[in-house]
Formats: sequence, structure tokens, C-alpha cells
Amino acid sequence: MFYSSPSLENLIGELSRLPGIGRKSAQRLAFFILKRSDEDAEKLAEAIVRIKRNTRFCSVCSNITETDPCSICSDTKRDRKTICVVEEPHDILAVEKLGQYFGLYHVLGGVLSPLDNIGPEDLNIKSLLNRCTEDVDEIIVATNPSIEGEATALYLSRLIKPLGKKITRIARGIPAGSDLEFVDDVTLIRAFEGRSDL
Amino acid sequence: MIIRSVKLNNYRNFSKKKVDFCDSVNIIFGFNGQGKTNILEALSVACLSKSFRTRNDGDLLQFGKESFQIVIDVVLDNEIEKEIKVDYSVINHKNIEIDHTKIKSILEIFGTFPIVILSPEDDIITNGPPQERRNFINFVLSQLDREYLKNYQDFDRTIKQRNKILQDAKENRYKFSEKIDPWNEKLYQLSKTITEKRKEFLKALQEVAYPIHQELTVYSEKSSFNYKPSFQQGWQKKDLFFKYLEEHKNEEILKGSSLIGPHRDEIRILLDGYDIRKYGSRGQHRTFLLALKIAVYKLILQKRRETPVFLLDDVYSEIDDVREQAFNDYFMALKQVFITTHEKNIKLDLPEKFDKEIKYIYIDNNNLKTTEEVLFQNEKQF
Repeated sequence: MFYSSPSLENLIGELSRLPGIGRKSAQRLAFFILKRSDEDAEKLAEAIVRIKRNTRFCSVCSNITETDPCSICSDTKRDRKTICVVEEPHDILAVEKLGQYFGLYHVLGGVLSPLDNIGPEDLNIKSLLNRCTEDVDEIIVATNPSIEGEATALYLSRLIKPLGKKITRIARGIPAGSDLEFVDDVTLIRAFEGRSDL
Repeated sequence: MIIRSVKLNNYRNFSKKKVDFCDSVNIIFGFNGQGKTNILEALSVACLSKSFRTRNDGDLLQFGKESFQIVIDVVLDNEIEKEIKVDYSVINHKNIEIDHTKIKSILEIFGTFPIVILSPEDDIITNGPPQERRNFINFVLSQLDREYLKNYQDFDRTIKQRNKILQDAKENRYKFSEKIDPWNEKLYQLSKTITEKRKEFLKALQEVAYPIHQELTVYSEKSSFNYKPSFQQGWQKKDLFFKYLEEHKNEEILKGSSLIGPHRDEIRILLDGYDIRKYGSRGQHRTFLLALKIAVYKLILQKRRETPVFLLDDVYSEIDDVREQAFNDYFMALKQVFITTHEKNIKLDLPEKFDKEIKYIYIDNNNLKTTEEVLFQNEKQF
């Protein structure tokens, strides 16, 4: 069933193209917007237009930014000897909020997945290799522990090792603060595999 | 484990049904097409998240319905009670809840609620193509060892990704070696682990199955497994594997598929040294399968320390050429058993000194009754 207003139908159609939003959720959102003030609707519309107009990818690390280079790449206080390689910009946020890592980042923009037609040339790998200059000591590969993330890490290690750089992979294991009995089996197995000397 | 009850909603031919079971022998009987096997299948779907008759969950829907539910109440060996709920809908697919908590992945529970099934569909294990024996091993081994399940899922994904590169290379070999290299590495690591685990498992299975099979056949047949890896040089030396890949590069690209790995390995079942698939009689197949399933039961009990529930679908009456005393001994040692049988076979040749509790569950026209009335009527007719 369709609504008689083409504008409403149009909005529902556009909203339902968003990830995780079906037609029903799109309807709810559309009616919510309809009920709010004109000002609210304009603010939302403006925010959407602005994100496309003002943001771009950092020319150094491919993070999302409004300035180029991004605030992390241009921060002179950061450790410029270490680069942490992540899949997506939101992974930077996850590492940043720890407040433990002070090096630089590099966003691949995905992982190798031939089934999805994503090969090395579709990822920001060339720019990563260009960054492996004399100033850099260590590359930390922080892709996800999926099979594709693992293969991507292997691929990068083949390219970077010959350059004489230290290349490391983040460890996998039990989340801190959780009891062993509540940890899912696969995580526990990985934690056993990656056990270290005391 | 003991299964206390099952509730079905829009499942196969049942609109709404609840059946309670006894802790020992449950005999589900009735005419053909009434849904006896559907009850066993529902138990399998709840405990193993898998039917033994179909791979497609949609097949389990009652005709014309859009969702079904199965709820079973179980008591584990340590007396802990759990409720398993399977909720399937055309839109949301299958969701499993344990005590009203949704589980994220089947990995979390696989093998926790063990059941062993012997059904006519199992003939394919001894009779069918190599794929069926690999499936059987994957299925049992995954219940015993969850790391194996994870390894196999990763392996499956690796093969798919790798095959895609091979297929793409048919048209364009640009940077082929560079692209396929990380997947070769993964293929090697996972194949090595999986093959080692399978060999270890077959050794353990043979140790348990051999004496059972011997007893059932009155020591007339010697059974064994023969694992034939697709990579004959073995997985111990990595350079041999990479050499093989280099030598067979063109063939792999031409076929667009990975030539070696656990997905191509063959497991043969031998009776007195001869392949049962080629030379075994129907009776020999059945007897071996019975020994195999009892062995799986024992292995699960041994490794997971949880007593499996044993399901016999329509095969009880066919097991007649085995040594009866031996079978009865094994049968008596089982904890909870479910048997489906045709109404005319209701008077099963149970052991003379049968001191187990039996519950008869009659199924007629989709109406489940556990009634002495039906049995009483039967008595009068005979």
C-alpha cells in the first residue's frame, strides 16, 4: 500500500535505502519528521547536505575529515614512528577512545574479499606503502579477526616485511572484565592459541 | 540429557501440539504419514539446529504458514533445566533462544544438547558419495570440538574466496600470485589443522566402533576406516604444498576450483578390507550404521560428558540380522530413547527382562494421544 502524498512516499523510499531500515521503520521516521517543526526538518536536511559537502578523505591516512590532512595526521605531538592499519574510519574511533595509542593511523577502506570483488587495488594499500618511509618503525595491523581480515593482514605483511619494517598484528583474546564462563567459545579458543609466557 | 516435552506450532503437519515424554523409552507409533518422524525431526532441529531430512528450514513450515516454533524442555545430566526455543519465519529466518536469551551463533551451543539419530536417511553415509562421509565427520566432530567447527567455517570461506580468484584469473592474470598468496597461506594452515583433527577423530571412532561392530556381527566382520587425503604428500611440509600449487596453477585456474584440501578428501569404510560402498550387502550397511551410531553416542558421552538422547527413526524393526543379545545390551545401556514405528509393529520384540519404563505415544490424524485406550483397542483387534 502506498500513501497518496508523493512527497511522503519519496521520503519513505529514500529512508528505506539506509542500512538496517526497512519500509516500516522508514514510515515511522518519516511520520516523526512530518510531526516535528519546519526548523527541525531543515536542520536534518542541512546536516545531511553538509556531511557530503564538507567532509573528505584525508590525503594521508584516508580518515574522514574536514581539514586535509586530518587532525591526527597534522598533530605534531603524536608518535610518527608507528602506524596502526584499520579497516574503516570508525575503527579509529574505537582505538582513540582507549587513550593508549598515540601513533598514526591508516584506513584501508575495507578488506580483501574476492567474492565481493574487492582486490588490493580497491584498498588504500599503495598509499600505505608510500608512507613506509625511514621515519616509520612499526606497522600495527588491526583488521578484524574475520577470515578476510586475517588474509588482508597476511597480504600486508608480505608487502611490508621486505621494506625492513616491523609489522605486528593485534592479539585476540578475552575481553577484560569478563568471566571466563561467559566468554564465547571461539574467543576462548583464540585466547588459548595466543597464550603468552608468564 | 533428557527431553521432557516438545511444543510445536505450525510445524510440518502440526498446527499446535504438545507432547510429554518419559525419561526412558518413548515409542511413537501410528500409521504412515501421520507425522511420527516429524516429532523426532523437531527434536533434532531444536538440539542440533538441523533437520536430518532437509537442509532448507522453509521445508519445516506447515503448508501456507509463514512461521513455526519448536519449544523443548530438557534436563541436563547435572540436573540443570533448559528451555530451547526455535523460532523460524520466512522474513527473519531462524532464531534460537535458550531460556529466553537469544543466541548469536550456533557455535555457542553446538553439541551442548547432544542427540544421536539413526534413520533410513543415514544409508547415504555408507552408500553415498565421499561428500556424505565428509559431512558426517564434520557434523559429529563439530559437536565434539567447537574449534573444529570454527576451523571448518573459516576453511569453507577461504575456499570460496580462493576459488573466486582462480575464476577471475581465467580472464585476467594480472598480479595473480600476489592476490592468491594470502589465501594459499590460510588454505594451508586450516587444511593442516582440519586433516589432523579428522585423522585423530577417525582413530578414536574406530577404537570405539570396532568392538561394537564385532559384537553385533558375532565377530564375523572386521570394520575399519581409511582416510585418503586429496593432498597425498601430507600437510607436514609447507614447501611441498606450495610446490604443488605452483605446478597445478594452470589446472586450478582452468577448473576455477581448489584441487586439494579437506573438501576433497575421501573417507572409506572397509569391511574385512573391502569397501563397504562397493561390496557391502544391505544388511551389512545397516549393521555397520548401527555400530557407528552407538559409537558416536559413546564418544559424545566420553568427550562432552553429557549423555546423548538416542533417536531411532523407523529402523528398529529392520535390525533383525544382528545378534539380538548384543543389541539388547547396548539398547539397555542407553538413557533416553525415542523410537518411531508403524502401528502394526507396535509389539516390538523388546528384551524379555525389560525393566525400562516405556511410554507409548500414539499419533493419528495429527492428533497426538498418549492413551492406553488406543493400546487397549489394539489388543482387542488382534
